[in-house]
Amino acid sequence: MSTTAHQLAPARSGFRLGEWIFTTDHKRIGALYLIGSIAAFLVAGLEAVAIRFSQSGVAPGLVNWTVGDWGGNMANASAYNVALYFHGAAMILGFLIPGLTGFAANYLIPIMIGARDVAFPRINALSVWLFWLGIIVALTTFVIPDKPDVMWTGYPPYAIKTAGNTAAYVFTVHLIGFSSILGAVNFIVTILYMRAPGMRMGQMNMFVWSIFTALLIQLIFVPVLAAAVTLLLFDKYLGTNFFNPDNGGDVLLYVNLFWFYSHPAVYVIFLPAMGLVYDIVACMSKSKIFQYEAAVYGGMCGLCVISGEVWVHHLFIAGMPNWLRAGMMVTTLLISVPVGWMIISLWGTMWKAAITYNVAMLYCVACLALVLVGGLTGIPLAIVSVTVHLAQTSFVHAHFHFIMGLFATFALFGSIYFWFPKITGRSADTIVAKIAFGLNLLGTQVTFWPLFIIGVEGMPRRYATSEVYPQFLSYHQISLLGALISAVGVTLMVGGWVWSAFYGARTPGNVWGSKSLEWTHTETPPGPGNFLEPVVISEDWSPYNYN
Amino acid sequence: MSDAPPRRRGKWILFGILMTVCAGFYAGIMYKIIHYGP
Repeated sequence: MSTTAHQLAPARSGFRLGEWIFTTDHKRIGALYLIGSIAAFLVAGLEAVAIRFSQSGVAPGLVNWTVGDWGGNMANASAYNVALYFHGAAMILGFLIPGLTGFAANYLIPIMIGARDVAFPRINALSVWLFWLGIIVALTTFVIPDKPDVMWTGYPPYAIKTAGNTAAYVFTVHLIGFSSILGAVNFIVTILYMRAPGMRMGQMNMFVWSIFTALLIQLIFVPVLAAAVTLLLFDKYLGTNFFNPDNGGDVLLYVNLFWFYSHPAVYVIFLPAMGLVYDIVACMSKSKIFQYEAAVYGGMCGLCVISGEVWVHHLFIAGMPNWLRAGMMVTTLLISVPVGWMIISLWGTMWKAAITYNVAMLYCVACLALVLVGGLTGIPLAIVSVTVHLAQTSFVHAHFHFIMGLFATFALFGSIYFWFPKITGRSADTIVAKIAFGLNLLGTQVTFWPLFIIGVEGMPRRYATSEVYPQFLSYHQISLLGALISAVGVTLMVGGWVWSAFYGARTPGNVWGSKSLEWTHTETPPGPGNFLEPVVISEDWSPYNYN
Repeated sequence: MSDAPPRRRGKWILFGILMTVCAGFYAGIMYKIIHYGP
């Protein structure tokens, strides 16, 4: 007897907290990831504004207040270090990775491949619980007296010697790391085993491919970071000396292990962001993906393969043989080949297309510019003779903010606007959303371009004030202005989402005219089990079959 | 006719393989570091 998921699901109405906490439904788990990651983004964003206030000299004391030092007991520079720690750790571990591989993957992957849920729904629930636990541990930063101040890198010997709570950092990494390992295994198995009958891997959405490749990277490299921070914990609290140079430990060993994970982590963020941009651009351009196979196998899979052989460029100034520097310079430069494939493919997809510029598409078009700036400024940093001058300056700071902080964040914001009608049944595509987009784009450019300029001039990263370099003060103040513009934009954007979820205009089921399964084969919003009828894919089906 | 998703029997095997790979990396790195240096 054939039964559908909707017939099996009992009729329920109203909000029940327990149903959300103990849910195994991938869509609700995705929503929980979204709420947690946006919360992390907002708090980490607040720290970013405080950092700008501190460096610009406008209100240095604000940073104490934002890290929970309301009595002003900490030195300004110490509070700045705590703010920098939380900003980095929360943005990367709490917002970007969970937002892309937690929210977006959870909500979209099963529906895009025609599955009723992920392969292991209960393990999926465990993943989101661990993620939330990690967020809570990270948030304890603001209430404990010995606040962690080890950046997001946790470099020894400082992380071993500091009075700050390095354990909070390590446990946050452990919890969110284990969450992402379980998520990675779950989604890799889901993509390999749960596709609708008839769906070949060569017919999958670009976003599905991007998650598949990103999570392969995650699965291989997260254990390395977990091992490194575990031994860091032993060094600080159990008296071992793996990384303690005072007793024969090797600091560079930790730095190598950290970047062995953390540079591939850039691609764990970059790839899903690129996948989201692909799916939005194809739909809003009503075009097939330009050179789909090249973009998937050369671009995404190529990036996945090269990602593990480039980390040493983070240590170019740390001392190493020249042959190693040269080799890692070449592999780092090679990254531009698969990234270039994908960017050309995106431009080709938009070429001569009848593009509809909704808010989601505006974010994606901005992404094309942001990835170009972020990518091109990465080239001098990959070249040894240049990077010895630029390393540890604001130039690096601006570079990675363009490629991760702006490109990936804009892609995630665009995806929220694009799938908002599918998730809520209402549109968030309003004039306020367009104004917020304009402010976000303007604010981020005003924030980071001055940092490129003063970075080339020699402004070091991670200085709490500009007292040592007063010639750069006006640039920091311009950067602060940009951060404030972005803060207004983000407030309007997030406020717009909340308002639209309750009062936004109702939309038809397939509002953007997409050919992808989540739009064509599900209700809006999708019910338990996703599909009214089991999905069967034909030989000539494609999620981009627009012509 | 059942509407259960197809090709599900091997998913726990793959789960086990992937988790073993992951745990192997963790254990391998720990082992190498502990046996590294003086």
